Amino acid sequence: MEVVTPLDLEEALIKLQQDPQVEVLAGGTDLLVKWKNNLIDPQRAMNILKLTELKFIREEKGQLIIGPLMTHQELTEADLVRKNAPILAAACAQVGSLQIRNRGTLGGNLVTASPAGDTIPALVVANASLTLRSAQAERIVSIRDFFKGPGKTVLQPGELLTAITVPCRTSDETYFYRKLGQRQAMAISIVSVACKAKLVNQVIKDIQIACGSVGPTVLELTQTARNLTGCGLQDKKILALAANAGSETNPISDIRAAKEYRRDMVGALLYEGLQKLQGSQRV
Amino acid sequence: MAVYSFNLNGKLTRVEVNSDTTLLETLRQHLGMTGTKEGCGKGECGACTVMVDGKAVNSCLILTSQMDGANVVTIEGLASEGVFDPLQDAFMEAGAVQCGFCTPGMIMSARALLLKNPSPTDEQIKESIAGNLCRCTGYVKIADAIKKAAASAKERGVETWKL
Repeated sequence: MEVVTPLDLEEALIKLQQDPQVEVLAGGTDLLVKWKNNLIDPQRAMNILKLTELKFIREEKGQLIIGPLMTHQELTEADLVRKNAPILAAACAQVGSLQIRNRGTLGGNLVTASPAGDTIPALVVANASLTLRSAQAERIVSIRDFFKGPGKTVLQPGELLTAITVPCRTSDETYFYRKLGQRQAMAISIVSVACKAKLVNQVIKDIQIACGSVGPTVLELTQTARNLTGCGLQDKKILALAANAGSETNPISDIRAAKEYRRDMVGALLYEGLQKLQGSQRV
Repeated sequence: MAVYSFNLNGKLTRVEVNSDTTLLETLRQHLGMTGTKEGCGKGECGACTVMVDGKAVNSCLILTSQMDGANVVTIEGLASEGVFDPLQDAFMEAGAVQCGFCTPGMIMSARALLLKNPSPTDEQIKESIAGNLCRCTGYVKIADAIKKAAASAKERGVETWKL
């Protein structure tokens, strides 16, 4: 594998246009593992870590704009993220180990498009959008439209993910992110659940729920969300609604867990998370 | 092959390697620095942990061509002029070493923690070494050693650990 290192974004986009088959290499925590496992054998890779234009966080007009080269650990620790997109900070904290979080990037986690990508459910409920740029053009796609299947995205040859935009959390929003793995660190998720809700007097007024590792891409529980809307957090029927949430998912059985268990755990994580929302409402 | 230069244990180092050579391979095979170990080679075990720009990373998942200009510290960079780093002393005192294979990686993870946070809680210590597997000790003495090193540094009036 021949690795080239462009020094700025323009050079990178031109290289990508000339050689659309080149593998884009950032933190390497996924690509290099696949390469070492002989799952991929690229002739050429483009190391984009020198592109300082892709490493930033800024708040602009009620939105948090994040460069794809920000590492998971940087995002976990950044005050701007903790304040404006705490669900993303929580999701980033769940990635791998500290060594992995220190290298792995948010952009890499998205473009890798694993069904188990830890940050994806969080960014879905946060309504994130992604900026995709080529040497000629730029387009913005909703994260909901970005994933096409395991490892597949709408990213076209010659395009690079250049920004992740997240609407800042408003004061009436509360959230949780829960991941179930075999242990706390270094575990690929068995199920992850991200939830954002608006509560008024402990009654759910609006809720979004997204799950990882229970389908070919991130899945939104839209029916469960509709059913939960209008429920009080102490309402007894929440338990039954949560228990049924797994029926909206389409998991497979694999080395980590059986599909039945995954379905059950969707309900369990959702119920636990909703219970924790009690009292978390801002006044 | 190309020449890459980075700062290694305080010295400007130039190596001529392929652009897809990992930092771990460069350290062990090209620079003869075998203190850093290769366990799984895939970022799972942490035996290859080194510090890059003060942060713990898996050297098996970094290419040397990505290191141009970086500041790398390995286990060999801790002791100076025959005097061990306080963390190395603490590992010996606490008996935190059995077979020793995970030890360099453990110490580098712990070193990165203390660099950032000289008074870590038990939970923070556990989190800092969650990416380092040890198949011998059961981790208790390792966590004790890190705590001991932090406490003894404090006693000696050391407020910040140096890189």
